[in-house]
Amino acid sequence: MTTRSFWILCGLFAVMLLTGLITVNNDLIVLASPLIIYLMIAVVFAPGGHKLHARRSLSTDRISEGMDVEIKIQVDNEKARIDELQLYELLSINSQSPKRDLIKITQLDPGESIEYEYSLQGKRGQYGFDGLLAVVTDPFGIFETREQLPAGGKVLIFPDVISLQAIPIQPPQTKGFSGPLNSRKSGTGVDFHGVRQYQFGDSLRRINWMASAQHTDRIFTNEYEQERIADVGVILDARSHCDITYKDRRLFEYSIQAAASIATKLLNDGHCLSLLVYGAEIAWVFPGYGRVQYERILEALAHAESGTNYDTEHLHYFPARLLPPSGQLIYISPLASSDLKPMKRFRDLGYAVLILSPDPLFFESAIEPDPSQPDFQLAKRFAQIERRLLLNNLRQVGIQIADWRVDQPLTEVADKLQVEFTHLRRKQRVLV
Amino acid sequence: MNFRKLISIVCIMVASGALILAYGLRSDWVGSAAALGLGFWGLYGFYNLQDIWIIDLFFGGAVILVVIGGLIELAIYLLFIALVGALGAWDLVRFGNRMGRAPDQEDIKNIEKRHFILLGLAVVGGMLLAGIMLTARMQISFYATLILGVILIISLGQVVRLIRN
Repeated sequence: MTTRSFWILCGLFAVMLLTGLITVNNDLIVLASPLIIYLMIAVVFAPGGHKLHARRSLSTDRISEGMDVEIKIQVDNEKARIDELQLYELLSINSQSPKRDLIKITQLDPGESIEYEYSLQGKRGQYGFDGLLAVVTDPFGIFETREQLPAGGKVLIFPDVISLQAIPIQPPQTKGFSGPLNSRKSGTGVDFHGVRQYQFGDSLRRINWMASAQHTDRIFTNEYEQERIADVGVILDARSHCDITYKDRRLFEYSIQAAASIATKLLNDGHCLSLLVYGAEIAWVFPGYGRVQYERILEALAHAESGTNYDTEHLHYFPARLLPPSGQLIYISPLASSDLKPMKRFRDLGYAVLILSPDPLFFESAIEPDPSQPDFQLAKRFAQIERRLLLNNLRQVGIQIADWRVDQPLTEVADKLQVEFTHLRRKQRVLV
Repeated sequence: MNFRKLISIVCIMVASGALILAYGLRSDWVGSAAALGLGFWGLYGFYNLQDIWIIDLFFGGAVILVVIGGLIELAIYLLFIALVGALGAWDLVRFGNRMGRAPDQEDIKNIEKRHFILLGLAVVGGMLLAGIMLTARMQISFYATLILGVILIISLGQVVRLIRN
């Protein structure tokens, strides 16, 4: 394949030659001789006949944010000599069109091979290697061949996961398998549930001697609360109006991190977990347990991107059939005023709802270049009132809310929520 | 400044200087001024490696000044030096553009060495060919020259087709 330089050279040579011929000026023809010699050398060393093979090896194909993946590339030349080889890495991030990165310029003799190693560290997402682009040119860059070498690969960078102590959930129904949740049913467990009359076969260890002492003809035994697992659905709000971006900071990334951390904790506790990313499209991870589900959820979160879609602009159109019936919902969203009604609807459908809301006002005011401006302060105050009102309304319908200022560690927010939850349970017991 | 950059600047100055001298010897100051402007344009191209069209334009301008110089019968050896200088500058700036993107400059040392050898070969070969053409003269008619020129252009086209295939 010829390059632009070839046509420039040929054009100038033709100008000199034709002018010389037309004006019968042999000096011009003589002067053109360096150009033709230059061109001839390029022709002699023009690329062709070489045969390139490339291999890629990755140290791992799944890593967490902040970790390195070692990439090793080997390129072999089987046939003719290559005077100038430019190797480009074709890297696509999150299925966007591939970007070309020059990684090596070298020359290769027949039978020679080169190895190239580098490490990749990136942000959450999928990094696809679409192979290598080999551009082979003659020494003067007049002719070139382009060839895509199939040395593909894929690296998935999972979001950062923070270890959480506890997530206070209380679904209306639990499942049949033992787990960490109090099921409000008597059975084997640790937490005290109630007292009933002794029945034949009850363990003597469970006799409530204090209660039995008050009666002369009856004996009572303690009942304990069954501990079970539950169906939990995590909904991640990925609508574009909830994603605030400033320079390289995104509020959405905090939501992703929270979703990943919560999912990890819930799966470690043995719950049945599903995930719904509600944005430009609805990405759904079918309910499941254990390590495989953990991988599936982190993979979905690694791919998650915010976007706009008129079908999913409001939560009114949220497909409730995708959620586990009578389970626990965890909604991770900065919240919009239009979210109140759909949340009420979830409560009406019998779900227990917990909202973890990264505070968009705090995030915006933290990134505002001049937050002391009176106009900004006034607008911030109005927005804070509006948000507080929304949160209060949500609390009134029985929704647990964690208002998360994103500079706070997530563990602190979860601990605070746990303390509130314990207080609430104690109050409920006293009322009962 | 490395050797390649130094040679590039020298080539631009040689090309421009030879043209200035060639036009100056005939007291054609417009031509000399044009050659001086071309020299500055070449230096601008050298410092803007990413805009390769600048040096393309420099090379085109130099060839046009050489052709005009040939038509008005300026000193042929000066025009020859100017053309070789312009060719060298054009080649080295393009080479610098390609190699400047290399992530590891150690890799390109051998390529650079080979490039200089081949460029030197082109210059020496061009000089030899020009020398032969200037000394070995033979009488051929205009039409024969025209036919030879056409054959040369056709064969060049065939070479291109051959490379493309």
